Amino acid sequence: MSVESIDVAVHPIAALDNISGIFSTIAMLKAPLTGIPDRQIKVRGLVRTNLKQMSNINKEEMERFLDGITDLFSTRMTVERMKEISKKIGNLDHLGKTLEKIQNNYSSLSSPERVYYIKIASGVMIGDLEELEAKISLEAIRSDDIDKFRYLLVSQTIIQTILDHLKRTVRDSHSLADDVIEKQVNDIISLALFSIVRIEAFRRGKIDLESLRDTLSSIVAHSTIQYHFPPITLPDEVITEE
Amino acid sequence: MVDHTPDTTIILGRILNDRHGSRSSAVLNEIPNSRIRLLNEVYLETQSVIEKKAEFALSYLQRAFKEVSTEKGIDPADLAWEDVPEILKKARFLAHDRNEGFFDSMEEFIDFVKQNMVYHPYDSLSAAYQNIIRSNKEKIRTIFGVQKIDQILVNEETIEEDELRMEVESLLKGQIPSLSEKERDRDLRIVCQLFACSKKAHESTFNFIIIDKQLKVEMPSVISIVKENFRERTGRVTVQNA
Repeated sequence: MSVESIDVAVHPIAALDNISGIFSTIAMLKAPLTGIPDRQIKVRGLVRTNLKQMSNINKEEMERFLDGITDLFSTRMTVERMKEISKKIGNLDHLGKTLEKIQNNYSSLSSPERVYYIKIASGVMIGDLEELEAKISLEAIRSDDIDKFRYLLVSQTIIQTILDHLKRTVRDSHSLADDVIEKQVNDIISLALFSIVRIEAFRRGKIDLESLRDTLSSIVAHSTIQYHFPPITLPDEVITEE
Repeated sequence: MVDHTPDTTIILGRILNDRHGSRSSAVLNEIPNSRIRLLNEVYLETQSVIEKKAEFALSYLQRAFKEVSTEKGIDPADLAWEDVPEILKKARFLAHDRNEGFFDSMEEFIDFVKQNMVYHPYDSLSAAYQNIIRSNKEKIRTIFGVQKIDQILVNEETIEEDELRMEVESLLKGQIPSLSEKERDRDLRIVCQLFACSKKAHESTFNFIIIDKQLKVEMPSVISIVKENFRERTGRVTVQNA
């Protein structure tokens, strides 16, 4: 049976039906170098070898990886535990190992090289996530099913929150030192990985809508902490002391 | 403006009353640093209630988008801002059995999104949803004590928790001989953890609500012992919300 004929969606989200698309998004969030166009990768040697392996994978392998990574991220967790669990991706099948190797290759580059690549990768990620969000947004507004609308709304808002956070980080990066840029972008990429995998886990029925909402609450809390939004005051809104 | 923040005592009750459930067990008994976990759960549960209410209100708007677009013979994604008054009118009609607060909130969400220049009206649903979560997070911060929730979510610090727990445990072990051993161990653990909570976030009335309400119902004798023996440590905590 081919992967295309296996229906893994318990909660259908058409925007995520393309297994290659969702795999490449998740792979890029785990190892940003995998999302950078080949012509822009200047380094050679092991990096090239490992990246080449990523271009020769079939859909069954992608499905095994997605199944494994959604299992990993389906436990109840905080944003702090998320980073700890992300490290276990390297134990997932050979694809997980390859992604881990690519990420290790990236870590061994010089600081200017890392910043150069992370900036390119951020641009690619923004485009990728914007496309995904737009698809889910259209699917939500056209939905005839109220329950489906609700989970699509939560999913779209998760991606929108991540996108806002990532765009703001990139926008403000010109005034920051290289190590700060790198840390901030890496932090938001970790958050994005967690979020996208949780949406896929929900689609597969591995977590429920309540847990998906918790994902949204966690990333909103986390993003608001780093970038403090001014309180939203509506005309007749008064917070009264009890 | 309707306050979308639910009563925190209700939220706490939902978590704590299900004391033998896996969720509260995980929060209170199994996870190290349980005080932080407890407050994190409270935060997530509070947000979840807000999110569900928002999804419900926005689902009426989505249905209105669909109906107006059907009447006009166009895709809901193609509706323009000049169609929004009609969409709101339709949403009001669809939700005719809801209270005024429900309608007010729908309109204010849309007004807010309009002011924030969302390009496509249909994207207002997700943008409004995100803003509801963000704005209510500010209210939750107010309830919990400004900045406290950030510390809870980001810095997993405990102050005095172990020391305090030992002191309270030692005190109560000698003074509640009537409880059977199994129940006593369980209740002592909860009492001590809750008491530690109150000490840490003394600027907020929230923590004392846990102790006062929970203990008054379940173990009225305990609260007087705790108050009497730890008077100076609970002096800044009030019961005005309880």
